[in-house]
Formats: sequence, C-alpha cells, structure tokens
Amino acid sequence: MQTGLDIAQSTENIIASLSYFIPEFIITVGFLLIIIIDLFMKKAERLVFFATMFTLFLAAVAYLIQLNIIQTNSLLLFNGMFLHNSYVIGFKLLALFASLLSLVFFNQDKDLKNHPKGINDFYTIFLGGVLGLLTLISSANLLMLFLAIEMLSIASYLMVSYTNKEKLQAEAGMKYVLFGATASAIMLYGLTFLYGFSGTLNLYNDHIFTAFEQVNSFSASLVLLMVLAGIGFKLSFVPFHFWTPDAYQQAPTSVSSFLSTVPKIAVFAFLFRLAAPFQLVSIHFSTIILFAAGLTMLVGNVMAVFQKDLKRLLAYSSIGHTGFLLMLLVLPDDSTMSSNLWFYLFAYSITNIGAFMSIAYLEESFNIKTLQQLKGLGKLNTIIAPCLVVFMVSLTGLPPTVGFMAKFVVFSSLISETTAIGFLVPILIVAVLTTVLSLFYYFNIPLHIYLKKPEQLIVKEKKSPIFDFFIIILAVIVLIAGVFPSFFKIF
Amino acid sequence: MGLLSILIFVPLLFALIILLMPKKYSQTFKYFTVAVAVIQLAITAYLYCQFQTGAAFAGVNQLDSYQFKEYLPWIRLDVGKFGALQIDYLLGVDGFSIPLLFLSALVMLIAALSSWEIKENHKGYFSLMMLLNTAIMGVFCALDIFLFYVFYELMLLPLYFLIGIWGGVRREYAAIKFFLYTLLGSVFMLLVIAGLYFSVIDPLTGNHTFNIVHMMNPKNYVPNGIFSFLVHQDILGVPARLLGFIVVFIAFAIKVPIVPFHTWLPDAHVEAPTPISIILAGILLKVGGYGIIRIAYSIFPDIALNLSFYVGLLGVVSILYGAMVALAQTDLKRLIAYSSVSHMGFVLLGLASLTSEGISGAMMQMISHGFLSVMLFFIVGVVYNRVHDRYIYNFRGLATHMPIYTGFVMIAFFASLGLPGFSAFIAEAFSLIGAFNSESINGLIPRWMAILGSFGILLGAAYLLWTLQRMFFGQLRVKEESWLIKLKDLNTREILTLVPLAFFAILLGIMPSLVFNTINSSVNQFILLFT
Repeated sequence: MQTGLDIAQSTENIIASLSYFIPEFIITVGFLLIIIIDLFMKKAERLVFFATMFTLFLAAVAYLIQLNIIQTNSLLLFNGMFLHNSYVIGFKLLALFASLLSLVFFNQDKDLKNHPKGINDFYTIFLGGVLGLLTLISSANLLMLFLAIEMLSIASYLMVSYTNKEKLQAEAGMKYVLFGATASAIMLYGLTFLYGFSGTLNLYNDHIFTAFEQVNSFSASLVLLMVLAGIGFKLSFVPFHFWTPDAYQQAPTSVSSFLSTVPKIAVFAFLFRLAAPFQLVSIHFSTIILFAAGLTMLVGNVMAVFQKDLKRLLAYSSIGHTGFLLMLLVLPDDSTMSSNLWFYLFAYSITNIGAFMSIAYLEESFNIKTLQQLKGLGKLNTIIAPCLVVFMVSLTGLPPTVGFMAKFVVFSSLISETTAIGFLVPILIVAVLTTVLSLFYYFNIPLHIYLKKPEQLIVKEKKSPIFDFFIIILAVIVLIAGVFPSFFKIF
Repeated sequence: MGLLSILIFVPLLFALIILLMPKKYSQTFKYFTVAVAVIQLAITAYLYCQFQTGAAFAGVNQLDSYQFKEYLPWIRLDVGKFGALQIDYLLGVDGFSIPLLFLSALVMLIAALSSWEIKENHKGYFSLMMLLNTAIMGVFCALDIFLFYVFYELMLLPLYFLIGIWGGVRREYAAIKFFLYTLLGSVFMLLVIAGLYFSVIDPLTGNHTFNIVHMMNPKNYVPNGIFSFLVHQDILGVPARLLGFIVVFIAFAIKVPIVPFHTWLPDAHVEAPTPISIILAGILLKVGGYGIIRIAYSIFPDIALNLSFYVGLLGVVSILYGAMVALAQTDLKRLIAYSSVSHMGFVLLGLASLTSEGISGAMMQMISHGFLSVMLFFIVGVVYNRVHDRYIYNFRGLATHMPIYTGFVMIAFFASLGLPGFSAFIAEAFSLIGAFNSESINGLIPRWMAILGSFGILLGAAYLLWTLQRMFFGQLRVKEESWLIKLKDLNTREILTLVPLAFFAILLGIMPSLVFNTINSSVNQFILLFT
C-alpha cells in the first residue's frame, strides 16, 4: 500500500498523528472506564451516566481546542487513514452536540431505565457507536470507512434491540440487522472493485479516481451504486429505507431520536467528501443522486401522510428530509456544500430531537402513541403541546423557525445551478411539492391537538421536569435560530 | 426605532403579555386587543397625514423617495461561492402601501371589536390575533423581499389556528385547505426569491441583495443571473423571467383570489369566525393585490406588459364568474364571499390596463372593498351571532323588526353594488375607464373586456338587491318563533363599529381625492416602469 514508506517513516507519522487523535482517545478511555465501573460497582447508574456525559463533553472541548489552533489546509494522519480539517471538526462537534442531547434523552427514557439488564451496558454501546461515527467523519481510506460504518452499525443494531421484549420489536431489530448486513456486504463488494480498478484504498490518492475514469461508464455506475447502497442504508434513502419505519417505531423513542439524527450527520459528513471526486469521474453521479433524492422525498413524504403512529410518522419524515439533503450533493462547490449541509443538519437535528423528546414526554405522561390519542391535548397541556407545534412548523420549513432558514439556504444554493445541472429543476419542483405535502401530515399533529374535540378523557400519569426543560430550550433555540441564524451558522 | 417598527411590534409585545398573564384575567384580553388597534390606528393616521406627495416622494423603484424608512442589517449567512446572504431589516412606505396600512389598522380595530363573540380560550385567540396583526403590518412595510416573505408566511400560522379552532362545523377542512393553497403558491415563490437574489446586486456595495427596490432596476441585474434582463435564460425551455412572473403572480393570485385559484375562499370565509372573516376579506385579499403590484408587476415589468391581456382576462373572468356564483348562493356568508371574488376582479382589470386611471381605480377598489367587505361580513355576523343561522330563505321582512340594522345593510349593499356617492362607484368606474382607454393609450387590453367588466356591476346589483328583497322586505317571517326575540336590533358597540366603515365608504365616494392625491405620484412612477 505505502510502498514508498519504510517502517521508520510510517511509525514517525503515526506518532506525529497521535496528538490529533486526543478526542477520539478520550472517548475510547471513557468507553473502557464505563465497562470497568459497571463490572466492579453496583448501582452505578448515575455515575456511569455522568461519566459518559463527561467523556463526550471532554471530547467536545478537545475538538474546540483543535478548531482554534487548526491550520487552513487539510492534514492526513496515520499514513493517510484519517482526515483532519475544520470541516471535519465542524461536523464532529455537531455530532457530539446531538449525541449529548441524545444522552440526556436516554437517561430519561422509561423503557431503557426500567430494563432489567440495566442501562449501563447501553451507555457503553452508545459510546462505541459515537466513536464509530467520529472516525467515519474523518475516514480517508476505504478500509477505515468500512470499519467505521460497521462499528456504527453494530452499535445501532444493539441499541434498537436493547429492550427487546416483544415479537414486533424482535422483528424490527432482525429486519434492521439483516438489511444492514446485506447492505454492508454490497458496499464491501463495491469497495473491492474500487481497489481493483486503482490498486489503492486511499481516498486522497488521486490515482483512485483517475483509474475510475478509465473504466467504462456502466461498470463505474455499478460500482457507484454498490458503494452508495451501503451508505444509503445508513441514511435510509429509497430504496434502502425499509427498515426505518419499523425500527423507529419499535425501538425506544430515545433510540429512534438518536438514529434519525446522529448517524445521519456522520454519514452525510463523509458522503459530501466523496461527492466532489465522484462528480468528476462519473457523469452519472449527479443523476443518480438527484434521482435518489427525488424518489426519497416522494416516498418519505407520501408514506408519512398515511401514518397513524407518531414515531412512524417521524420516521417517514426523516426519510423525506434525507432526500432533501441529498440534493445538496450535486453542488459543484465543496465549501458551499459542506457549510449548507452543516446548517441543515444542525436545524434538522435540534428540531427532530425536540420532536422526539416531546413525543416521549407525551407517551410517558399521557400514554399517547398515535395521532388519534392526541385529540384534545391542547386543553390539558399548555407547555409541551405548543413546543411540539413549533417543532412541526420547523420540520415543515415555515418561518420564523430554523427549519425555514435551512430550507431556504438549500434552495438558494441550488437555484443558481439550475442551468448547469440537468434534472435539477424537476427535482427542485418535487422538493417544493413534497414540502407542501409535508404540511399535510406535520399539521395533522396540531390539528389533533387543538382542532379536534377529545373523545375520551386523557389520563395524566406523571411528569418529568428535565424533559420539560430540554423541550422548551430546544423550541426556543428553534425560534431564535430561525430569526437570527447568523449566530448559529458557525461552519 | 421608527414608527413603522412600533407599528409592527406593538402587537407582538402585547401577544407576549397576554400569554404571560394568568387565565383569570381572560376577560380583559379583548380590551388589550382594542387598545393595540387604537394605538395602531393613531400611528397610521399620523403617518397618513405626515405622508408627503409629489414626484420626489413617489417611491416604487426609487429607494430614496420611500418615506419613514428604517434600515438594520439583519442576517448575514455564508452560502459559499456567492458570498454571504445579505438580508436586511428594511422598512419604508410609498403611495401604494400607506393607504393599505391605514386600512389594516382600521380593519384590525373592527375585528377586535367584533371579537366579543369569542367565548372560549381567550388567551390563545387574542395572542394569535396579535401575532397575525404583526405579520400584516410587516408585509405592507417590508422592502426586503426576504423580510416580506417571512411576514407573508407568518400570517398563515395564526390564521390556520384561528379558523381551525374557533371556526364553524367544517373548520378543519377549511383551515388546512386555506393553508395548503397558500403554501403551494408561496413555496414556489421562495425559489424565485432565491433566484432573484443571485441575479441582482446592490449598486452601492456590489453584493447580492434582497432589496425589492433594487430588483426593479434592470441595471442592477448581473448578466449571467437566472432572471437577467439582458441574457435570456431558459428553465425547462421556458424563458426564466416568464416563469418567474407566472410563479409569483399565481402565488399572489391565490391570495386575491382570482378564478380559478379561488376555491379556498368560500370555505375559509364560511367556516371562519366573524372577526377572522373580516380580516380575511378586509386585509388578506389586499395582501394579494399588493403583492401583485409590488412584486410581480414591479420586478417583472417586461413580462407583465406582455401578459397584460391574460391578466385582464383573468380579471374579467373573476368579475363575471364571482358574480354569477354569488347569484346562486343561499348562504349569506357564502354570497358575500363570492362577491369578494367578483369585486377583487376589478383590481386585476384596472391593473392590467396599466393606465393611470386603471391603477388608481385598482388601488381605490382595494381600499373601498376593504371597508365594504368588512361591513358586509360584520352584518352577516350580527345575524349569525343571534340565531346561528345564515340561510337566506330562513329570514324575511327583517326591515320592520330590525330597522337600524336594515339601514346599515342598505348602506353596505348599495355601496357595494357601485351606487354613485360611494367609494366602490369611484373605484369601479376608474378601473373600467382605465380598461376602456387602454386600447387607445397602450393597446394592452381590448375594449370588450371593459364592457364585460361593467356587466359585473349589473350582476352585483342583481344579487345584492335580490338578497335585500328576500331577507329584509315583505312580511316578517323567520324559521322559528323564538328567533324573533333573539333577533334584537344593533347594540351600541355594533353601531359604533359600523359607523366609521359607512363613514369612510361615503367619504371616499364624495372625496376620492383623499386617496387619489396620496397615491397619484406613486402610480405615475409605477407606470414609468412599463415604458
């Protein structure tokens, strides 16, 4: 692989690279620490929770420090395995931020807390997954990519099935694992082709893409499709989305919230780096992506209209948003793409986590799981219900919320490329039409909360003030970032 | 902070106050709303008096001659190779917006006064109404197209809930239909706004800009922008500017509403509670007309000129179709709703003529229809609140039973059908004169359109007089005996509400110069865009 490097040089490179690896190292240490605590201490749930939180927090601080001292150019670490630049760190920080929110959410989740196995193992798995997605964001080598994706995948399989007690949940978990394994296998097959064409695994070796150029366009597209299949499974874009609704519905709500946001950040952060070279080598790349984007938006949004279960509805909505984000990958300009991607993912993450938190709150306090049960909630609850409406407005993409700003940023970066990229105009029209369609199902929620009269009395069970606090904070951020996005669009 | 900002954000402040106040004070919220509306009316009246006219204050495509301007940099977003998105908080008024501001403040006051009928959940209702108020004022003041769009969309949410929660039997259907229709138009418009942004640069700074006024000047367009004046770009084989105009026009045409985009209106009007019907008819329809003038026509004058025939045709179709459907209605509120479609058709016809008379007539029609439709919907609300029925054939001979009410009904009906001496006469006459003269002045609209349009007045007389005869004349007879006790004549609050409306309808009929003088220089400046 690195024929020109002898061992001494290679070791030197690794040692020099270690200092850049501190945040990931922190998470590894935290991961091991938690296993040990859990092994040797009884009733350590609170301690483990804070240890996990502290680990993530420390890693975030380390990234912030890195961001401050970073040079403008990209660095390749560990003999070309690992990419280090400000974009990468921006996405990593976003992923950590969303992970921290998810962590708080896990800690509040009734399903996880009351589980006989205890929640500590779950935190371990979670940290493993976070490590996987952080390396995925940075991976500069096909092998690294595969390892990172698998690490993330295995962690998510376990998280979905962690509280497995019913048949349906087992089915969802099984579906997820089987689909995931198949997708990974297909991707691996595609990666071997890439290696076969070029003789290198290094993504930042120019050879890998120039070799690609010489392959006939059918094989090139086939390989592209295979690689995209594995990545597409994680992003759940059509036609690799079948696992999503079942997994989201059956998994604990906090896990669905995690799955619908954090892995997406990581995978998109990686995919955007592939987009530019792929655009150069294959004329079909933009077409494939746009086609997938249009199909994903259509399927996600159309299917969402028919959903009765709240979590299933959000699952299809997340598919729709993935399609919307995919459109960005056809932009010719790297920095435009990444900064807009970042902002959209930020907007989507806070809104989506907020929405899932509200739904978890409603499930815990009022035992509400479906749209029908929301009827007449508006009279009973005057705090969470309006917040949920704010999240729905933001997911639809209406002002004055952050969802609108994100949507506008995406539209405005694409509209100037309409003459340059074929098929973009029809896909943009699909995007607009599905936005209007999405209003229909997102507003089913406020419709049931406020417009419908209650049929039966809703019983109130209990209240968790931490949920209240986080939901309100997120709703306020959604509004403030909608009016003053400049404060939040940092990268 | 200037007067326009105060005008916009006072209601928002009060919305927050209402939200934070305990529920036991809910009976006082309506007084808050009235107070806000009075403050706004005072401010707009002051602005209207201070408003200067003359060529130096014409506005339209000259940023310097807008009045009461306010400017703050608002959003700077980096979007990559095009640099930063520059969105400004830019407010200002010219002859087209100032009368509509005054109208809005007055209509909001009337709506607040008619909110006495709201019986449940005062907190939600009044805070949403305040939010709606903010959005409406913002739309008429914004000179940055992004800011305009934010306010424009912000109107939808409160309206959705106001219709959906406090509305009639089919309120859910009406609310979502209204929302979907408007959003369908406006999301496409968002694409055009983004495209315009990348086609236009600020002549002073050289940056791309959302400034509406800069978008009106062909010199500010970059040659390779999508909506460039000089280099014709195609989207899907259609010239980009043509497509842009059509998208924006349809977005606002839905709001006006113009046949065939009008089907949300009867549902929304019928299901909405009276105050919201008043706001819908009195202000929201004008937002559509204002948008067509300020955005569609001003930014795409070249296309507007070419498509004038079709715009005029849509106007005539709206006039005749609306009037004929109104003839067939048996629900009083539905009848009024369709009469709105018909009357707003005159706005389009006058505008399409692109003559000074026609555009003045169109503006006058918007203002006049603002007063009159509010009056009409209030009148429907009076009957509906008392007996919860609006079926025309359930009432007969009300003239002897409710004489004061009938008096106001007659003023409103005769004013609406265009009797000389009332504002609608001036407005419709000017629109028709403009349309009639267009053939000889600029050849945009054939004369037969004006002639067909005047049949609309005839049809208007038919349905209004017929309704008057059916409901108010003849032997007193209502559906149930108990109604006779419930159908009391107007109380003081209701009279106080109707008097200013009737007063303005007559005042503008006798002294149309009050409006014409204010808008004249802006109208002339507007016409220069098309030469």
